[in-house]
Amino acid sequence: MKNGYIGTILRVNLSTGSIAKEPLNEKNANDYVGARGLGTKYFCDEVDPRIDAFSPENKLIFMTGPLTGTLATSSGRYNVVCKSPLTGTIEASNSGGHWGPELKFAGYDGIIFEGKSEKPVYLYINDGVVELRDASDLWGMDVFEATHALEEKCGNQFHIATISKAGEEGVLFAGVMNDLHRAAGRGGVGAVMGSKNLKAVAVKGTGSVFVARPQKFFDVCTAARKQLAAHPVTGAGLGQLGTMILVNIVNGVGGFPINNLKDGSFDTYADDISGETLVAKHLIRNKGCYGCSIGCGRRVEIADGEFKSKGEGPEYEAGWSFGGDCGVHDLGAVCKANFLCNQYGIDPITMGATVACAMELFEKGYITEEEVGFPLRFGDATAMVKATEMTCKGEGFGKIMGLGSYRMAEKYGHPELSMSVKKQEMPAYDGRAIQGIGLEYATSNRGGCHVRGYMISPEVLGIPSAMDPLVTEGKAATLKVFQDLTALCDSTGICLFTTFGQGLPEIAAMYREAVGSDESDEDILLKGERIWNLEKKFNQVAGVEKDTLPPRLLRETLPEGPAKGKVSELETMLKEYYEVRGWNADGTVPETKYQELGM
Amino acid sequence: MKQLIIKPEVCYGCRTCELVCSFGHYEQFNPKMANCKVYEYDEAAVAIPVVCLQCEDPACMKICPVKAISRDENGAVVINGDKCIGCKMCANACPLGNVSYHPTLRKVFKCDLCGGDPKCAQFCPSGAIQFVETDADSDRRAFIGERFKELIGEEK
Amino acid sequence: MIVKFFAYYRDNDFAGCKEISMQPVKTLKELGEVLSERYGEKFRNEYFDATGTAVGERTIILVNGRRVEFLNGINTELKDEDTVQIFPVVAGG
Repeated sequence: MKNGYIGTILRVNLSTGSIAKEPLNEKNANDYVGARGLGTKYFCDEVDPRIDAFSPENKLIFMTGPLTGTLATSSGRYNVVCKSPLTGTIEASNSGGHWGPELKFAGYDGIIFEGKSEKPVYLYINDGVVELRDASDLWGMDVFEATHALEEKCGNQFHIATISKAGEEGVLFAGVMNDLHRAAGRGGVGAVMGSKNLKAVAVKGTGSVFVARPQKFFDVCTAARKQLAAHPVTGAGLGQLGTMILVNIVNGVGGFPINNLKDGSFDTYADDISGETLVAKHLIRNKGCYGCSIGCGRRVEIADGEFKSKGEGPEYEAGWSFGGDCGVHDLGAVCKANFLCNQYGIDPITMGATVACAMELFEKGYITEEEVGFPLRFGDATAMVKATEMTCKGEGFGKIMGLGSYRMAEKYGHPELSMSVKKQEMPAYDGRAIQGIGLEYATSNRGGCHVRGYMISPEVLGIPSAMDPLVTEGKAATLKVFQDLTALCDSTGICLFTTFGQGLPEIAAMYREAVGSDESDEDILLKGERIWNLEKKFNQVAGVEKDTLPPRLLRETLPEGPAKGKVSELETMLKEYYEVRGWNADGTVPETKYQELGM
Repeated sequence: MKQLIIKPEVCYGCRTCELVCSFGHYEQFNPKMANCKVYEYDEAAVAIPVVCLQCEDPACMKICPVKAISRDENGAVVINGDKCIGCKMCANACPLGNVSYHPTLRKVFKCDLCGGDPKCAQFCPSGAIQFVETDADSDRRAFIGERFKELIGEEK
Repeated sequence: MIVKFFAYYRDNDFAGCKEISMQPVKTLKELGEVLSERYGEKFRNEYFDATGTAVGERTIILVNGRRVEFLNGINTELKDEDTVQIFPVVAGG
């Protein structure tokens, strides 16, 4: 096809070994855009939401968007869609790198995996040649070993998406890693892949992506790129300073959660693990995903000491989870734990937050040194790294941490100490100091998550304009727009980070010229709202728990900092949110809403 | 006269050059059709953009049996598709591998400096590929000097 | 009074340090004047907007953790025990 899409979907049945190429469902592509939205649409049409996430009935969908692999801003992205074993919600886990574009160059918009293979396999895609191949010898390998082994087998021009032992053994927050260091990290999509005995997907392609109106597409992409280059964040800040630069400012407003969210300010320690320190001491060079003009990725080395290591990252969220949340201010330890997560393909947000939860359980005497194997206290960098490594490798107490903080805390009788929403850990911002992000966590369709409507933008960074983080007014309406726009952005195949420097007009323009549409900006944003409601619909049928926050955020006041004495005023915001969404007061979606959205 | 220069020390491997090159020449996004290519080495933590440097004494031009290759007014060594017989001698002769053969298009291709304003340099976000006056490269020379200083100097 | 600098505000062509402790000034505007005097035009052009009557578009200032837009902007009054944090516009996630 000549409209951003390739026009072909690969359907691979792992139970029977059959591989079919089918035409892209064009109506669904039009209504749900691509990547996150289109993957979710295919999934919801084919899978009963009530299934067990580890049953062969769960499907695993890799999907690109119409802008993936084009000159559109930061177009290197794809999504992995399935039912999450961690949350029981629909999951669309988003990754960058080069794998997604390569899948399109090979001639496919996406891959739908069904069933379960009897023995370990990987999918080999070399343009039109698509084969399930034996992966027995790869089983048990970590991400780096498996990637290198597959490059050796297939050729070094292949791009590899793989899981490690953690995914094979069902760590509930194991991700899919592609191009070594890029992660479809959240929600346990790697564990679902492992449950299907699917180790990896190796892809190489020589084909092209065409757009509908080439000259106009070129013009709008050029303009959008210039706009991003001129913006202080997307043109300079993110590339030069990386995402870790947020540590100091979030700490500054009192929203950097410390010690499993017991405290809200890291005092003088924050700077030890800040982006400034990372750049000054450990950064080797930047890395960029496909077609990206921002280049926020970082190659980092800890040159010496107990935590000597090198790798990519950490990003801000991991810097917080292993740092502030565990009370650790040794940047070497934070980096080392993050590198382990990349190597073993697990989500560093859930990992760090689970260690933090275990630390609180330990300090309160709910778990013993005998169970853990060593004292696990806040601030102990060595213990934090050790706990992470045990989870990565599935050793001892690591097996229990591999369930995530909710199931772990529940096992010891204290689920209230899990800082999670719908069993997925909240990231690096405190919903008491930054009210809108609390609402975002509570309403996210995949549990605790910051990239479903990044309220930190207006509430802390002042983008596009500043909102007071301590008040609730106007948060619901802003969040709705952010959630819909994010769903749209994710579904086109471009990176959410571009939205610091561009908005709906630019994204809609690139989408229109790529697919050859004359829809208005509002019509295009409506697709985002449709995607949001589709995800919600799945969760309702799946029986996902109601929108709320951990009791700590609702009842325990912040002990210090600018937001001292605050709790999350979630109830007030939720009521307003359901109204602006056009939903019922109890948070369910009326049939009329689906009809209105043409679903 | 301007020339393309590469600065691998700032390349972060986004391959925008490949995308925009293929689009500029064929109105499609296909890195395999691009006249430039980025090689990335994860362990060594470097990415190296490779482009045709428009040799002063081009082997591709000398070996072409039908004189299909010439230098244009922008200093680019270009292939005349009408004259080219597809023998691929140029691709074999280039010591840097900067002339390629595309099996689908069934033709050889190389960098033509986009008619004087190369898109790879225009769109490169990091400055790893630049199109600059040939004498404007003294800062790079200074950079090389710095590297030598680090290598053999005794400052430490 | 403590003034803390972040990101490129720490560079040598700006403050060249992470933190200073200084004699109290009355307002953020006055603080900007004093610091610009000390650090130069480049600092001034980031701290103030083009009119010199508001905080620059590329700068975020917190006083005791509160963004000055929600206090009294550039005219926010300062006390001796206050901490002022000066950031360029940054983002991440």
